[in-house]
Parts: sequence; structure tokens; C-alpha cells
Amino acid sequence: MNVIDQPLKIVQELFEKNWKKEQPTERTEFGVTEHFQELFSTREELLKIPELNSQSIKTLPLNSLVRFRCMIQDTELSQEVALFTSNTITKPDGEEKLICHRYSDGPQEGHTLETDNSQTLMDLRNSYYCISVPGETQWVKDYERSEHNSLNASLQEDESPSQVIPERYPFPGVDHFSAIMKTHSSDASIGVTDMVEVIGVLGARDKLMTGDSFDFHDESANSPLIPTVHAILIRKIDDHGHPELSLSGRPDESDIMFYSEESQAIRKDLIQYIASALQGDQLAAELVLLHFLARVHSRVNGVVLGKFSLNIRDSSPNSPVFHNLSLVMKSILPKVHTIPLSLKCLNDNFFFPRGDEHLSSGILQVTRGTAMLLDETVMEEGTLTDKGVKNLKAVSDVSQYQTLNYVFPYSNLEFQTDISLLILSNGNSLIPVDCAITLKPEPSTTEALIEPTLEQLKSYRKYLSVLRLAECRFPEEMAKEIENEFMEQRKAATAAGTSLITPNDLAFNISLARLVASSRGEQSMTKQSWDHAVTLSKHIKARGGKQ
Amino acid sequence: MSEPRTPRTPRTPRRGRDDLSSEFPSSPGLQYPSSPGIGASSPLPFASTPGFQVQYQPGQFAGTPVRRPVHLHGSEDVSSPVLMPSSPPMRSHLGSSNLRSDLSYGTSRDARGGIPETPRRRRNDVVSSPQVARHLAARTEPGSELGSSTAFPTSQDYDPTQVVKVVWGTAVEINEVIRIFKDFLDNFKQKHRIVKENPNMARTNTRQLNLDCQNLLAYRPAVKLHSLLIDYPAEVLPLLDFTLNEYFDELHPEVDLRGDSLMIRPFNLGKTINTRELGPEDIDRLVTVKGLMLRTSSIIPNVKKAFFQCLICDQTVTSEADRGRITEPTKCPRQECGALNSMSLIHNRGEYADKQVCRMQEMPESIPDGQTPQSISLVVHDDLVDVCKPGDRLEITAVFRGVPVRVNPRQRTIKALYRTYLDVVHIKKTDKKRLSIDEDIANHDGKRPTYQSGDEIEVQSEDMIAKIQEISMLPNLYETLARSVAPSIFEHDDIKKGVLLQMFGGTNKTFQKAGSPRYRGDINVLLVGDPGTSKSQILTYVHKIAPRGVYTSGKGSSAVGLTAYVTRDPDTRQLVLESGALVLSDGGICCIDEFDKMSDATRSVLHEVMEQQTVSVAKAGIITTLNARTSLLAAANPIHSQYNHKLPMVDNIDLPPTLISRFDLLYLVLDIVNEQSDRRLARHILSLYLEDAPETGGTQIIPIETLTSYISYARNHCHPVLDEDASSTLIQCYLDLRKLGGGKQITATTRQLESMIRLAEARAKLRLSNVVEKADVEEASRLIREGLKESAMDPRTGLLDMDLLTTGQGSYDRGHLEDMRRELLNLLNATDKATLRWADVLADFNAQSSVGVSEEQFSRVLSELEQQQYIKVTGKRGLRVIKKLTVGQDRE
Repeated sequence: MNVIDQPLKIVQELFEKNWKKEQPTERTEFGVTEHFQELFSTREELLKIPELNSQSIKTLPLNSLVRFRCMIQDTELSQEVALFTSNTITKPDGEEKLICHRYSDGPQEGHTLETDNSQTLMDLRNSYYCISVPGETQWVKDYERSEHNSLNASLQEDESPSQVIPERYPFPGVDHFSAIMKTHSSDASIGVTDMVEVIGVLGARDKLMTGDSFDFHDESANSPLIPTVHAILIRKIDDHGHPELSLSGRPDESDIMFYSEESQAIRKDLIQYIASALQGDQLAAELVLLHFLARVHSRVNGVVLGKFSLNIRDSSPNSPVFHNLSLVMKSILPKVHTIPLSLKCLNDNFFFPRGDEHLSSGILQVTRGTAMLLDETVMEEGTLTDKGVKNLKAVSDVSQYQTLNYVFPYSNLEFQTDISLLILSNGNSLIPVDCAITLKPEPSTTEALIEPTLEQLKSYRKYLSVLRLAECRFPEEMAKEIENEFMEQRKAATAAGTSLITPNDLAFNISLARLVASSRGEQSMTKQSWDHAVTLSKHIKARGGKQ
Repeated sequence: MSEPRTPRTPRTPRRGRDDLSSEFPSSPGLQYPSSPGIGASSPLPFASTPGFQVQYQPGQFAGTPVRRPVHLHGSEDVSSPVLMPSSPPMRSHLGSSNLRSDLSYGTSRDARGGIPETPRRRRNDVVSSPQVARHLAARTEPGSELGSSTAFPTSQDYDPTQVVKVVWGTAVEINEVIRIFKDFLDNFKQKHRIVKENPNMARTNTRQLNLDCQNLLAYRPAVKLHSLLIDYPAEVLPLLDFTLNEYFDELHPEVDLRGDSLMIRPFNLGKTINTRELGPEDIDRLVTVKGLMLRTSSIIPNVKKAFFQCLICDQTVTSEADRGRITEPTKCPRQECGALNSMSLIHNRGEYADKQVCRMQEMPESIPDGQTPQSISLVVHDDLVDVCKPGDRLEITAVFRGVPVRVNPRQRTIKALYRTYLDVVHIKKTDKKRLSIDEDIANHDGKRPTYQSGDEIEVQSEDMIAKIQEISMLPNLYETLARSVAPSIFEHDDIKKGVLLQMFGGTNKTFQKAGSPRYRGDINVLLVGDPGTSKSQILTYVHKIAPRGVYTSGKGSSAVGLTAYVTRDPDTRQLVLESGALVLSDGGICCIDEFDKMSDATRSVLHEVMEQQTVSVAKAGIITTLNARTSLLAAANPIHSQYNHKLPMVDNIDLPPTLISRFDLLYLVLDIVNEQSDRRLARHILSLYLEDAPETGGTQIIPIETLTSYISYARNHCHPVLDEDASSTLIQCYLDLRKLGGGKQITATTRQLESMIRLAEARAKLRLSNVVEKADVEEASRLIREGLKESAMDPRTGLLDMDLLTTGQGSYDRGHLEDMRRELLNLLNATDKATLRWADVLADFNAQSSVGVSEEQFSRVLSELEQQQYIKVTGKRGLRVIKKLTVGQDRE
């Protein structure tokens, strides 16, 4: 466990071994990344590293190796130039040697920098503001902790919140943990709202430097102290957020096969489970299931494919649907956030991130694959302020184009999102959606929510996460079939004088069919799925249609 | 410059440059003897010019007498503002003092009278900390307090034994630099002209010479200077300044610079660096960075020098600021006095320099995907203060600096961290559109841009320009570009072409002789069509691609949203004018969806915008007219959701004809059932889902980013004019168009002619050509004809009739109104009822009519009858009732 306690020693050893003095002006690597990658090549090894969170930060020693699962909130904290190497005198023996300061805050205690600076080299460091993954559900957190990190369990009682910058977390008033990740490599592939796992050296807590403090005289005294992590390894986690699935890339072939076979049974159970939250409405439950499986799978020339925002209209008073649905979602989805979309909520909060000197977060700045349940039934009459209008626009943009505008002075930056929006409303939603349906309670069903066993829950979770990522192809025969059907329908409609089936209808049916095929675990769409989708589409139209 | 020159006319102290500290940490500086007492009585410090020697080694005269204007408060030459020959004692003093001079000759620095033991202070307006990097190597001089324990890597091999004429720690050979630059000034034609003939420099207060560094590269002997300048700006720039001053003096001996010195402001280093790419290796080098000014601080009077006076003996002493701090003398320096705590600060004798701290964000378009914009601090000095305002797009040339971060502002301990910022030496503004200066307009105002050549930023990189040129060579350029517009939308090729030309736009021109103020070059396009026919998609696409595109929905936007409104600034509580969509899209395209749903008030604004191209605002005591030179791309739905083919266009959309006629192009986007096209449509939609075979409606598509660059390049660079051939074609086309109506109807007005010109110009721009050719005019005429065919065709006669568009009433209508009136009267008389429901009558009337009668026509006929007192219409909208009047019947 030497590595975990004293990673800097390893770094220094590697530095002495591999560092080439011949080209000191080049910022060369000396094999640290490779070495650590080797050390922690398996998931098991990786999980041995203590996780950094609001509890463990209190006990973890400085300069020890930590693991931090987080979302990148801001990629551009101010740039720093920091010491890389310098001749340093170590205190006890007065020995003078070249010390590598990469991955640390600077000279260690008891070290004095030698004044001969010919060996001094500098590094350019990029800092990222990282926050704990927004909306991560309890079962995911439990999984991370219970199975591999028993050490943290005893520390739960200490409840004093860690120091954070509240504006930088998407959800106001929610406890979270944050850290500054510093890395000397500039990996452009790491962007805002990416989910990453960082293995790095825990550095000192520090005030966040802002550009305003340029004169270095005005740093406010009470700004929070944020811990630093000097990243050695940064791994992007794929957005599914399911802790059991592989960290990145596609789900395992075996998983896909398994759930393809089991899909029928699980699908049926799951629809029942969801339906119990929707007062027994099977059709709505199926759509909700399809909605859970939707993800943006391609953006072709500005057209977003795969998104499926859903609006359920429920006019019954005191409906338990919102509560039940949020329970269901939190039990089977990895990242969920619920918002009561009241006038006050729209007027008081920020839904979109906005940056001036630093990037303040907004409710919609979440990782891809986060599910959001908006309760529009609490909306009342009143004045929507300017902020409210902008917020509503931001939600609409996510629903329509899956993009979110980050507002900067004099410019807006558009970021791509993949947030599943499920909107509960009394009448038509204020937000344009892909599909809307009026809830039709089944009178025979009981009010109570089904409580699935843990085993069932586990299979639901994995079913959703795996099949959501699985690819579904469109075979050529199907395409031909759909083409002909479309033409026939239009001809028939003209003859009968009824309303035409528009290209938009066709596009809707196709995306619906795709989701149906996914939910059945099909890797290639079948005629049954298409027909089922068309039937579904008809039912939806009968129930108030789509917009 | 090897032969010594006698110093010439003395000058009053010149202002030195503050954007650079040319100072070497190792230099203890010059010390001048001064006679105490006299200086205090001199109200204005003025310069004497002791022959100043640039000297590097003892006994080695570089032989370069540099005029060094100095405040000599103690000078005996109080009464002599003019010529003062070099003072030999001074020179010998210098020669023997073995002091390495610093080269900031222009820095007006007080002679430290009588206190030679005071270590020379660093100037702090810029370098507020120990200068890092390579200068550290030179840290051997006694008296230097460069005790920083951390430092930058020495990027330069330093040889302490290196001799003469070389700035310490660098490879800058002073004489050579001066010689090269002088040679450059002399021989480089363009620059030569600027200095020599630019009367501004002599006459006005311009004290800056913008130096295009590309010119250095172009002039072979000066190539070396270019790299020296980039690597050692702090050393080389003062040398260049010095050379320029010398040179200027020679050319204009009559000009008194009154304390200012001329400054070189280098720019266009050849490579623009993104802020992201700045690294430790760039520290203390000259870089060119592009960015967007986020905000600026107020002007900070930066104390350069504080002036103290002894309360007891009036002995004066100045103290230079060091890292923003002034060391207050605690004791009177005069030995005879020596009073403790007697020195008091005399404010108005101190010296201050303007300083401003700004934040600049990188250009929005250069931010990599998924990253948030990065910003960097700028420090601007003197003349450059307040040159740019927040929101300006800039290209600055600056020295990249690093300063260590202190653990605590009150402590000297510093972290192993450096913060970086830029010391600005040159600012180049871009984005004329933001400043509302259309190139054409600016030139017609008769005033030339105040900036010199090259002050406008070339937004596109060279690679992109090469690519653009390549694209413009494509054989079927026009079709390819049109296809690339909204490729996800199926077919509608003519609409795409129209929209494409709209994005390029015509040329704005003014005819001064004719007296018309300005002739708009913006092309307005209106799309009308069935719902679900991807009109909105075209709009969103254009919004994305167009320069300064603004997208708004007619339904949601009030007049306020579209124009400008007044709000109170939350910070300052001052009234500010916030511009709406139209003003924001000045010089761009404003996309308005659901145009027909717009309130009348808003629409009335559009009348002004489309004709005068301005928006008038009168609110909260602010009355102003804002420019809104915008093209309009609007989409509207037909009145009865589905387009009625039996009726002409004007009757299908709920828009006043006056507004419709202001659109250059009108397109009908209709959902027509057709087996062939349906199949292709289905295939097109499916292809989006068939990931292995994405079909994009054509073979070659130009990516959206490239298309955007292409358009902005064309817009900025091409200003086509009609050639002879094109003009005659234009006339012919116009005549043909007018003939279409068959003589009876008006098919084309001068509006169409103007539209045709604009479209032809736009098409020439598309080819990156500056000449409108015959083909362009033909295509423009074709587009207009196609558009008219759809919009101005009267479906009842099959003829084009412009009156339909301009007045909403075609000649056919006029002919038929009389028939209709008669028929209607018959219909009314046929019933016995005294009152009839309006809607019923219309339905009946339509049933017996062979051609469709619109509500509008119907009510027109009714109102005519009403005027003649046959009938009376009462009630509102759907509940209208027609009451027959007996009088009318009698008369009948």
C-alpha cells in the first residue's frame, strides 16, 4: 500500500530513473501515467484506492492517492504556471537534489528551494472544477461504498458539510462535494459535464483563484477552501452511470445477449412496476419505459435523433403520480433529478449555466444520461420574470434540440446534452415535447406501488442500462416496407380526403419503432416491432397525440 | 550608429513606455548628481540631455549617445529650456561610474539627488514583481534585491563572459538592432512613407507608430529583428523606440514632442496564438492573441513616483513605487537636517500613469468542443487605456508575463505558482459590425478608419482561406452550396438557393447624386406553407449559420422583444438600452418564425426596419434610432392551416400586402402528394436512421462550419458591381417580367428590379467575384420569376399580377367585384329573412360560385354594399349578422 500512502515517492523515483536532463526545456513525460496505469489495471485494484468524498476528506492524509468520481463542471479555471522541477535541499540531511514537483502543491515541508535556478523548470497546469455527480441515486452511491469501501461506513455520523462553492453545483441547496483537479496535460477530450474518474494525489485545500484577484489583494477571506487533486490518471466514464457496467465503451456482448433473451419477461414486469406508479395505465407505462431507453444516438446536420421527451397529462387532483414515479425512477435509474416546475422555481433558480468570471452552474448542467422528472402540475398563474422566460427557453431547447446554451458575456456557447425529460402536467405542457399522452387510470388497480424484490430491481437496472446503449440496426427490407407503407397511406388519405400522414409522423413512428426494438432487445429491427410501434403511435394519437 | 553623435536639442521629459519594463534587475541605474534646493523651485521639471551612454563594460564606450530625458529638479539650467550641450562632467561621471545603464531611456526618472545609496527602484506599473525567467541569470549585481527563491527556467543559455553591446542575459546586440531598424525605417518603402509623410505624427498627438511585423519579415535585412523582437521584447522595444525618436527628430526637427516620446507598437507577428496555447515557454515573449474583451476596470492612476518634501527644510525626495508600494522615507535625507518622520507626500508632484486591468476571453469560435471559454488578464497602459470596450473583439500583441502568487497578500511568501497575464503593446480591434460600421457606409461617410493598415483582423485563418478559394473553384459551386444548406431538409432546392443568396446578401450602396440616403443590399425572404413542411428547420439552420443570426418566434415576441427596450442596469442603476432581435441582428439575418402570429404593433416596426433599416425607440425619455440593417427570413402559416390552392397567396396568409411586398422572395412550401417524391421523402427520412448509409440529399456537402466561413469571407471581401453585359441582361429580364402579365396586369415593379439586382450581386459574391455577370442576372431573374409564379399568380386567371402583392387586390378582383356584388344581392334578395348569419351567407355564396371567394373579398363586397346602404353588418367576428335594409331594396 506504499503507493496509496506515498504516491509522490513513486513519482520521484520514476523521475530520477527516467528524467532526461539532456532536454530540460521540453516538458517531457517520465512514465508516471504508464506506471500507474499498470499498477491499477484491474477494477479490483482500482477500488482499493480510497474514494474521495465529503466524509473521507476529513481523514485522508495530504499527498495520499485518492480516487474521485465526479462531473467536470468547469474546464477553465485560471491557468497556472507551476514548478515542475527544482533543486531542493531536504532539511534533515541537507542533501541537495533535483526534486520533481509535478503532482504536488509545491515544495514539501522541510524542503528549501535551492537558489541556483538553472535546474528550475515550470509546468503549465490546467485546473478543472469537479463536483460529485449530480443526481446520482442512492443505490449507485451505496454500490460504490458498500462493496469496496467499508472504511467509510464508520464515518457517516459526521455531518458538517464540506466546503463547496454552491453556485457551481447544478441543484441549489443539495449537499455535494467538490474538488479542483489539476493536470499538467491538456487533454482536450475532457469537456464540461463529462463524468470522469480521477486517480490522483490529494493536495491542500485552497481558495479558488479567480481572475478578479489579479491584484492579489482582494481575495475574500471567507471564500471556501476547496481540496485539490493532482490527477495522475483521468478516465472518462461512459454516461450510463451504472456502476456494474464497464467504465467506457459499449456494454459487454454477453450482457446484451443475456438481456435480449430475458427482455420479454423483464419488459413485462417492468411495465407492470411502472404502471403501478401511473395508476395502472399500461400504455403510459410502456411509453415511460421507452422513454427510459431513449438516448441521443446521432446528430446529423442539426437533426437530433433518438431523443424522446415525454409529457404525461394527468388532470386528477392530488395525484400521487409524481411521487410514485420519482420513487420508481430513483430505484431503477442511476441518475435522476426531480423538479417541481412552479413559477417560483422558474423565477428563482437558474436552469442554464452562465459564466462571467467563473462558470456558475444551472439545473440543466448535468451529465449525459441524467433523467429529469418535471412536475408542471404545481405551476400557477403569475408573472414569469425575464429569468423565468430564459429558464423555460433552456428547458425547451433541451427538449427540442438536446442542446443547452451556456451564457457568457457577449457570447453564448451551445453545448450538447442528453437529458431525458419526463414532464407531468395538467394540460398541455409549456414545453414542446416529442410525445404527449393523457393519463387514463385503470379503475381496477390498487393505489399501492409494487415493491419489487432487490433481485428484480437489480435486473431492471441492468436491463435499462444495457439495452439503452445497445445498437439497433435498421435492415434494408424494413426500410423498403416502411417506404411503401408511407406512400400507400398518403395515397389513401388523399383519396379519402382525410388528413395526410406527414413526414414528421413518419419520423416519429421510426423513432418509436427503434425504441420498441431496443426494449425487446433486438439488435436489428423486426416487422413485429415496427407494427407494434405503429399501433402505439395510433393509441397515442387517440389519447391526445403528440405535438 | 557606431560613431558617437553629439546630443541635440534637449527636450522636456518624455513619457516612457509603461507597457514594458525594459529594466534589468541587475541594473542599479543611473544616478545623476543634482544640486539640492534648486529643483524645488522649478515648477516644471524639464530635461537636460546629458550625453547618455549605452555602455556595457567598463571602458567600452558603445559610442551611442542616447538622449535620456530626465527630470533634473536640481539642474542649474532652470531658465534654459533650449539647447544644452552635453555636459562633459556628467559624461565622465557616467563613464567612470561603471554603471550598466538600463535602456529605458524614455523613462522619465528623477535623478536621485544626493541619495546615491538608495537602490534604484524598479518601475512597477508593469513588473510588479521580480522579473522572472532569464533575467534571473543576471542576478549577480550588488544592490539587486532579486531574491526570489523561485524562478522560471532559463530558456536561454547564458554566458556571463559574453562581452559588449549585448543586453545581459540575452542575445540582443544593441547596436545591431538599432542599425537594422534604422535601415528598415530608411529603406522599407511603405514604412518610410508612413513616418515621413504621416503628418499626423508630427501634427497631431499621435505618438505611436504601428509596426507591422510582417514588414520586418518582408524586408530581408530586418528579418533577424523580427525574431529578436519576439524573443526579447523588453529589450528590443525600447531600442526601437529610441531609433524611431532619433529618426523622427531628424525628419521633423521643428516638432516639439512636449515630453512624449514616440512609441513603436508592433503587431501582426505572423502567428496568432490562442490563449490556451500560451505556456511557460512564452513567458516574457511577444505574442499575438485574439480574444473578446469581457470587462475593463476603471482607469487606475498608477503611482510611478511619489514626491516627498521635508517639512522642516523643504528638502525633496522622490521614491519610486516598488510592486505597488511606495517606501516612505522616514528620515530627511539631507545630512544637515536629518529630521525623523518629517517627510510628507506632495500629491501633485508625484507621477502617475494610466493603467487598466482587463479580462479578455478567448474567441467564442476557437473554443474546443465541450470546453468553457478561457479568459486571461490584460494590463494596458497609457495610450491604450480605454481603447477597447467590453464586447470588442480584439487582436492584441502583448508580452506574456508570469507573477508568483502570494500565499497571503500581506506576506512576501509566495507559492510555487505563477499567475499569468499579458502586458499589452498593441491593440487591434475587429468586428466592425458590432461597432455598426458597415464597410460601405464607413467609406461613404468620407472618413477613413482611424486605424492604419492592417488594423482590421483577418478572421479566417490562412488554411480556411485556401479552402474557401478551393471551394469557389468547384464546377457546380452554386448547386453544391445550395445543397449544403440544411441538408437534412428534403429537396426544396429553389428555397435553399434563395436562402443561400440571402445569406450572401447584395451590396449596400449609396447614390449621392440621386440624393437617396442608402440603398439596401439585404434580401428578405418569406416562406409560406403547410404545417410540417420543415420551414422552421430552414429558419433554425439559417440562424445557426448566418452572421449575427437571431431567431425569434412571432408568437412570443412582443414589439419590445423585436426592437429595443430600456432597462435599468442592475449594477449601476442607470438606464440602459437593450436591443432586441432586430437591432441585435444588425448586419445579419433575423429569422422570424410564425410571422403571421405577430401582433400588429410589432409588424408596424417591421415596416420601418424593412424600408428604412432602422428602429426608432422612444421610451423612458430616451429617443433614439438604432440601426437594424438586417435581412429578414420569415415563415408564416396559411390562414386556414392548409393552403387553399384556389385562392391567391395574399388571401392565404394573414399579412398586410404592404408588408408582403417588401419581401424580395416569396416561397410557397407545400405538402403535395406525389408518389415519386413521397417515396424519396420516406427514403430521405429513413436514411437518417440507417446509420450505415447516410444519404444527404446529394453527393457533396460542405460542412456547416466551412459554409459559415465561406459566407463571411464572401461578405467581407466581395463587393460586386454590374458589368455592361449584365446590365443589359437585367433590363431585358425586367422587360420580360413585365410582359408576363400580358399588358393588362402589372407583373413587375421597380421593387422586383431592385430585388433582381440584389440577388444577382449575391450570386456574384457566392462566386467570390467582384463582377456581376450575365449568368448571375439570369439566375436572379429565374428565382424571382419562380417566386412570383407561386406568390403573385392569380389561380383564377393563371396570370401574374403584381397588384395582388402590392394592394392585395388583383385586376381580376376588381373586375369581379361588381359581379360579386350583383350575385350577392341576388342571393340576399332570394331569402325572406331580414337578418342572415354572416358565415351562412359566405358558405352559400361560395357554394354557388365557381371560383373560391375568400373571406376578405366577401367582406370587401359586403362593406361596399353597406356603404351603399343596402345592408348593415352588426356583431363581432364569428357572430356577425347581415341585416337587409329596406331602403336598399327599394332602390334596387
